[in-house]
Amino acid sequence: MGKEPTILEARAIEKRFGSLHVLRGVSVAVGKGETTVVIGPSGSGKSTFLRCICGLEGLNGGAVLVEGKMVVDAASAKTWAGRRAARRRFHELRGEVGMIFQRFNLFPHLTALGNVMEAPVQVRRMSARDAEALAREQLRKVGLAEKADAYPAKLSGGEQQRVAIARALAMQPKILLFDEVTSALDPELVGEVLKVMRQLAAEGMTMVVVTHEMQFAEDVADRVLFMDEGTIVEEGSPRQMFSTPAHQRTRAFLQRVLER
Amino acid sequence: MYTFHFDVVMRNLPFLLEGLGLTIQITVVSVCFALVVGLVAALLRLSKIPGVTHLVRVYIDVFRCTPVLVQLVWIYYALPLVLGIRMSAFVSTVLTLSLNMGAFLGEIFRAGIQSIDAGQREAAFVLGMTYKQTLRRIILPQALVRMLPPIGSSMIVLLKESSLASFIAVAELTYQGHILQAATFRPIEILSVVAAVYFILTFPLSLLVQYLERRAGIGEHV
Repeated sequence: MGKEPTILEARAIEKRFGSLHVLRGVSVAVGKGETTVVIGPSGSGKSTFLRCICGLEGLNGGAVLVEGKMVVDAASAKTWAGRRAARRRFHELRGEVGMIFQRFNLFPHLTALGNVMEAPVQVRRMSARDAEALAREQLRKVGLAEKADAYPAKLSGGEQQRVAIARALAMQPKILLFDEVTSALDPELVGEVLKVMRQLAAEGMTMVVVTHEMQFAEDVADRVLFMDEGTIVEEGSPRQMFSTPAHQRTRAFLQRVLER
Repeated sequence: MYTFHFDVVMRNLPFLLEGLGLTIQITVVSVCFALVVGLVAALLRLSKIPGVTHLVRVYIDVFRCTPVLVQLVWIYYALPLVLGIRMSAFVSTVLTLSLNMGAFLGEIFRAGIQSIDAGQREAAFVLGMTYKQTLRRIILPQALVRMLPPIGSSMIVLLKESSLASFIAVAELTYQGHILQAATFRPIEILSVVAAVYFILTFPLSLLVQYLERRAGIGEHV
């Protein structure tokens, strides 16, 4: 921890939705290959934090840097032209910051294979044949090689989420963001998705994971952040966070979730 | 009691059907333009470009909320007087119908595009796709399936509204009917046959839309 070069940096991110102050100066530096798990009560700003990192939300203050390059800043959110410029800057990253959503967001009119091939063909201008080979490899990686021709509606939630992971992987991202990716799943399907995520962490993928799966956090995280009311209250190794949390709010939260 | 004399119509059927070609031409050309106008209007309305959104709203409201016949008269008779723009009756008809139907289609397209879950756009964005790619590859294919029924209805409406061209002496189906009425004094028979011809044109269109809808829905549901 801390020895790896920083690949993702959030600098004092501020985010407001109208009068609601969702993020109050959140700063995080993520090292290459690290798995950072973000925990905290709902409404604490965890999801908004991820959405700010990957450019889905404009910022009211601060900046996001990927490999030292500024990708999102507060100034670009103010005007229409600024937002357009920010979009273009983000487009230049071409999927280097991948995101997996709680509700999968697969493209329903494309097969599993089509979903995974889409961005390599459109964004990277890969030939259909190369993209298909790449897509089949990613589907195999998440254990869905035989479901390549199935439409999302024919897949279980767990399978859909694994296709979504394969789709993000096909862009060979440097960073993967996971936004409560198991929260919409039936309990018996959670395991297969977490298994893929464990495997990715073991392979050295840089991951920022917002989750309520405390066991996963304890096993896989290099670092755990506890967020509450738009700030990072406390951070540390999983051992330290789960056994000897320093902050009262962290203790109260962990007590509530671990009781269940 | 009134005795129907359809033999009068039958004898003059070739004359009547001379108008058929123009009716089809007007409809096909207008539908193509209206689809383009509608798509552009919808995209501009959704663009959030300052000012443009309001301009498009004005266009849509003006053309949706006034009678097509009045619009046709304006474009054919008033434009030459006011702006010195003179167009043939055919071009005026196509322009009127395209702009009118474009306004309706604009709202249909907008609703269709907006009905697609925001998560689709977000997923495409994070994958690095541009707005244009997202629209073409992700949003429109899904939206089009949902928009097919109202688009089909609009095309049927447009085909029937092409009869208004008779008002400015475009020799399409209805105009030929009028001429024949004046010559034969058999308006009921002639109008009935004209209506039947419109039905024969529109009904297959409605079947085509149904077929397309079934075919396009395959990906989403199977």
